[in-house]
Amino acid sequence: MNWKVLGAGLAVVVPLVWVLASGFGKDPQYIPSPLIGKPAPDFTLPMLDAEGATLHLASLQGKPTFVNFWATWCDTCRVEHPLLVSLSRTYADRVHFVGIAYLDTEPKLRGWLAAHGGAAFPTLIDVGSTAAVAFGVGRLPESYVLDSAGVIRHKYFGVVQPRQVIVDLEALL
Amino acid sequence: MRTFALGAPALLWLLAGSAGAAPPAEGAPAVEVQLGLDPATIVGAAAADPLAGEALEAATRATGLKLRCPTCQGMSVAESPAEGARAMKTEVEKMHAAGFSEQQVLDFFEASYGPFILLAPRREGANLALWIVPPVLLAAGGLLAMGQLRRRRAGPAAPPESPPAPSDPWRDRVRREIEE
Repeated sequence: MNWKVLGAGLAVVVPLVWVLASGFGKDPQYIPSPLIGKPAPDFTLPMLDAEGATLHLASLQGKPTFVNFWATWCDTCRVEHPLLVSLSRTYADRVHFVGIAYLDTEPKLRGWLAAHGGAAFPTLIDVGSTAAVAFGVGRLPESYVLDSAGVIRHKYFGVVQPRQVIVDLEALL
Repeated sequence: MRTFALGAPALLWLLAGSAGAAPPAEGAPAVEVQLGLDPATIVGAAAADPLAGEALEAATRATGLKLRCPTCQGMSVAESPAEGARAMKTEVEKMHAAGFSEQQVLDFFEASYGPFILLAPRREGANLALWIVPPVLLAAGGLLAMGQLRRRRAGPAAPPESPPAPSDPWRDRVRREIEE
């Protein structure tokens, strides 16, 4: 047996297999947020169907806030919507729920919400996508949990897992 | 909240974006818009001169080429046609128009998205391996290939002298018995 060739082969193959194997358990589309533990970007955004009224994100401090970035063109948002409606009703008095519509239009948002049982919490319009950029939003849906002081504590990528959200929210209440 | 003065076409396109309108024609008057987030709170005061016109366009493209489109596969923000990348490009343009340097723009995006957003990882820490290992492996491979080529050019190696055949006691015995 040629030990030199075997050694050289193992030196190349073992690290390669290790790198590939360590990546198999991860979602390649997940972007870890550097904002966890930092104050959430502050915004004043117009609210859907509020006749020009705006919502200042910092005004929600005092209770935990659940921020959900979504859009009508996002297929998985359709799956997530009833879960968020249910969660928002469960935590109606204890947690603020806010939707932020990303790259979307008001008529489409109105139509979508009407077709999906209506809005259970306010939807803000992300004009110019500045909120999405500041939160580091990549693919939708993405959600963030802010504590009572407005610090980002959790990021959820894709459709939320209600059990995980409940655990995280309960820890903040 | 900070106020930025922007080039009219880019700004009106930004304002019209949520309504799905087409970009406005050139020559519209410059207007001001209030942004929701002040980049200076993240990357400090603008450290460069505010840009406009062709210089702004070139700087936006150059910086956009260094930012990854988060919804694409290995494409830069400058090259991607995705809506999300377009929104990021607009943010880059706004920052350059307000006098933020390229490094400040990159820092701003890195603060939100993490180092993932930079197409070229920073040359520090574990990232150094990404810059050092490939050239080292390339050099090692080149040296190996050169060594092989030199050996081949030197001609085929002389065949080793064949050692004398070892005596086989069984064969010797058979031979002796036949001869007898």
